[in-house]
Amino acid sequence: MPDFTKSNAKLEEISSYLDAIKKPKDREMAIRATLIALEMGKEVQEKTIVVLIHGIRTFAEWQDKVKNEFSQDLNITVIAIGYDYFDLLRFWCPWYFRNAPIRRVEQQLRNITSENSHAKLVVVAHSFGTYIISKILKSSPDIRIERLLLCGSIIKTDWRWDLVPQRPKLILNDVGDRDIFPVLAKATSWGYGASGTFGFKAQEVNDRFHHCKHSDFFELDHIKNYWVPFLKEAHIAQSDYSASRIQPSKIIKIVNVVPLKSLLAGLVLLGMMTY
Amino acid sequence: MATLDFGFLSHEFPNDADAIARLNSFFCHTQTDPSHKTLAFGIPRIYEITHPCSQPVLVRILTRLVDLGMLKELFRVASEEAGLVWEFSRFEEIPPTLFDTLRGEEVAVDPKQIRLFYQLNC
Repeated sequence: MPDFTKSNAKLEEISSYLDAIKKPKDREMAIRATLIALEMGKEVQEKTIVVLIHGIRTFAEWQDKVKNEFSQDLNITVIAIGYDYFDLLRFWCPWYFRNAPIRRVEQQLRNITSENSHAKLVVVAHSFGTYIISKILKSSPDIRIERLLLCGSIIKTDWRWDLVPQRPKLILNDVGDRDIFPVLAKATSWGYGASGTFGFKAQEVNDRFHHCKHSDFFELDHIKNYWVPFLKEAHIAQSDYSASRIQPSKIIKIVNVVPLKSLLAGLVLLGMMTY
Repeated sequence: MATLDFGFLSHEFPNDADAIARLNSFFCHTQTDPSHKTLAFGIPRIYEITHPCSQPVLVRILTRLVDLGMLKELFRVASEEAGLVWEFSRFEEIPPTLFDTLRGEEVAVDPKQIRLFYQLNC
């Protein structure tokens, strides 16, 4: 919609633009926004940088969808950060391999903040990206994140958010209760948790439940209805599913309690001793 | 008389929980004072009370309260020259021109003359 605060637009002109908005609720909101902007003057908005961090075994095509969604917004710049294709073996191994992507993302975030010192930094992280950002938040207090959106999170559910030195002002965890990957990550390796399946249930984090799987968050409808309000206006749109949540599936429950990694480690140890 | 509680909105707008609490307390006060009950408040006053983090957030908060029937929205067109005020309950009801009885002629409505007001829906 054009900026009417800078013009002498007539009522018919404004009405014709508003009439073009098909959804009645959106039109009513646009009317309010226009009249408030006309009365109060157009607000000088701060620039927001939205940083997207992907998971493993992907080149993250979803990042382009988010970029497209904000392509017309002059106050928001979307930057996708990658760390090349990260395979399952490196993801599983608790030593050494995880450091390289963490250092890469950390360096990128530092570059972004130093080149955009007056901009607000908002981060969207998926799957292994959530693990990366949790490590960076603990180790690099110079990187200040305004808002953090997690989805498919594999951060431990008992993660001490209260000990994060520069905790984001608003943390939203999009939980998919049909998402088995966080549970598998927790069951088969060390350092991961199933917060993407069960939520953090912590005072510092807003868990928002959806009945979806690991990558269902990247549907365009989900991005438009749930992510855009959060990224643009720090608004947490309520999920319709939250009020009528059902229990996670039996498989998820079983995988969550079986100590697969300990059994695996025990077998390896036993094998070594026998040999 | 039911207690006015906007607290449920804090879950939707956690960054603006304080702004919502200030708005709640302001309207609670007007609710208990019969002389204020029917008063409508303009955007500058609401802005001054709430200090929201941004205009779009204030728009969303007011939209929710109007949708839930807690607040009533009024569109007032003021003719500054002649001191006349026309009032409408919907934006679509505002005609392109209005008859100015003091001037005795039709005057075009300038969008900048339209002011939004909010009052308790009681």
